Amino acid sequence: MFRTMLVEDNTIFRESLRDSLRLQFPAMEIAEAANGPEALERIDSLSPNLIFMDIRLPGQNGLELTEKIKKHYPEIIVIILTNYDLPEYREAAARFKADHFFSKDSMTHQEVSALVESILSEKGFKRNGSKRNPS
Amino acid sequence: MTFTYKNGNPEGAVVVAHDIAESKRAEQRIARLTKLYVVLSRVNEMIVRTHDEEVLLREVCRIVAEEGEFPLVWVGKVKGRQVKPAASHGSAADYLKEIKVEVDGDLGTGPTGTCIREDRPVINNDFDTNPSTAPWREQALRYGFRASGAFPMHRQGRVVGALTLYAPNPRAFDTEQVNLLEALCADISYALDAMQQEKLRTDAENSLRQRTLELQQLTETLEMRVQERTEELAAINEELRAENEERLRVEIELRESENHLRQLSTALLSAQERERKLIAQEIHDSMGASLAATKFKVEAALNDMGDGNPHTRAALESVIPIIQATIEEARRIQMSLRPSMLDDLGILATINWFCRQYESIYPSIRIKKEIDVQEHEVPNSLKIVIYRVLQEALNNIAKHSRASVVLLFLRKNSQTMELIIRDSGQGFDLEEAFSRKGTARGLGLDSMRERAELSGGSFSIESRKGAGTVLRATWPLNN
Repeated sequence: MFRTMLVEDNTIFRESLRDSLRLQFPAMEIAEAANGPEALERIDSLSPNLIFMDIRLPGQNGLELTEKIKKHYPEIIVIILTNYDLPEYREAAARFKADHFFSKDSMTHQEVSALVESILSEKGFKRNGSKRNPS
Repeated sequence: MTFTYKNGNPEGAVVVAHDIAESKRAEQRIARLTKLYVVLSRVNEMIVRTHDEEVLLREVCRIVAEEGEFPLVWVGKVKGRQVKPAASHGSAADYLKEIKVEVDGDLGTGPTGTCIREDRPVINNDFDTNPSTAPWREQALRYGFRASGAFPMHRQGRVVGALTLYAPNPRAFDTEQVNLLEALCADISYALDAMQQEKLRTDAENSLRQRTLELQQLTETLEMRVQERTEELAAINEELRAENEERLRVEIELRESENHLRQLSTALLSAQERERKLIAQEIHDSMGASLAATKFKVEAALNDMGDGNPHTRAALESVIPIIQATIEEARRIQMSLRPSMLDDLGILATINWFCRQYESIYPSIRIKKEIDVQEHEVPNSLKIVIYRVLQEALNNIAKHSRASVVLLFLRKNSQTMELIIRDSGQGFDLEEAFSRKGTARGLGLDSMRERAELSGGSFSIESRKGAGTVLRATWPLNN
């Protein structure tokens, strides 16, 4: 089972993203965290394959959190979410070892779906989020 | 008694008569001498009692005239050529009003003038026959004088006048009388000397006393003045001290007030920043994220619809650009309030972003950046200050300088962090800029300076007309 975690403090955005993903990938397990400490706490038990990470989080910067996560779990794919589609943000995301970058206000449903699909296939999962060849 | 005969004529009777006259004359002489002794004795008594020259001379004249039975006795003193009566006594004292005596010349031939001139007693035996007393003969005989004598009076060995006395008989003064009268004059002279000596001594004493008194008064006056002056000085000192205290107090108040103002300014600036940050965050967190979610949902709904109702689809599709525009507007407001990038990514990324955006708004201006610090080397508290100073400076350059190139340096050494913004523009007259009133004043230089100084740094500006402007903000680093 493909597991995704959404780290985002804005409930409306978090839930709308969650709903969209559920609709697209019904077999995917989706967990949510509204801040850094909560996210770190749940990573161990959940061992997610993919994390959507907001940069601006209460208490901790999403970039720094990403760096920390990637240091311990380099296999987890991290997609940075931000309001600003600016080169500085993209560069920062790359510098902090994030894998992908989405601007919240310009990303489309299709783009998210396409990216998630490519990640699923890369990690050996079926389109719905279940493992292709269970071993 | 002897009888002699010459040519048979007896001569002896003459001899007898002569003898009787002789003895009578001797008696008279003794009586006169006795009187003069009395005079001398009385005068000496008086000398001992009297300490006043005028009284002494007057009394001498009186005693000599009364006791010696002389019709006139006077003391004359030399005044220039003349001999003026200083004292006189006797029944014939008016005689003096009628005559003149001088020390030389025609009126100096008498006993008084001669006595003074030659410093010796001079006796005139008979006015009637003495040619040297011819000038006074008529008056003298009228007053019943026949003989006269003058005796010099001395002061410290020098002749200053004469005692002159008159007798009703010719040849009235014999040698013994002259000696006695001379002795009398010597006594009087001695007394006068002593008196003068005494007077000098008294005068000296008085003068000394006077001087002492004056000195004492002077000393007192001086002391009083010193005291007054001391009091004045003390008062002035007190005034100065009070003034100084007042000045110190005012200075302290001023400093306190300045500190207070500084605190207020700092508080105001940080409150302003805090508010801006808060509003920007609110816009980001609620509006921005909700708008993004709305857009995302609308897109999801459109995706789900497939080829559903084309009217509904068109309506939904038309909403998306509106939402997008709103998102961008919200972001613009948020960024101008406070770039969230400063908090998300730091000062270096923010400078980069700001310059890029600036160059796109003002294509005629190129910014050359020389950033020589790492993000972690910039103290967090300085980041917003650096950003605001840069923002203000670059806005000024765009508005006023007509510069085409801006050099931007951000660098540090072990002690300081330095931000330098140098433009190639037209520069300006600093004095003129700072003398303007109101909002035009200093072209926002005050606000940059304030921000730099309130954050513990210093701010300087160099500008000349036609030679560009250099702004420099420096902060000490306390590692």
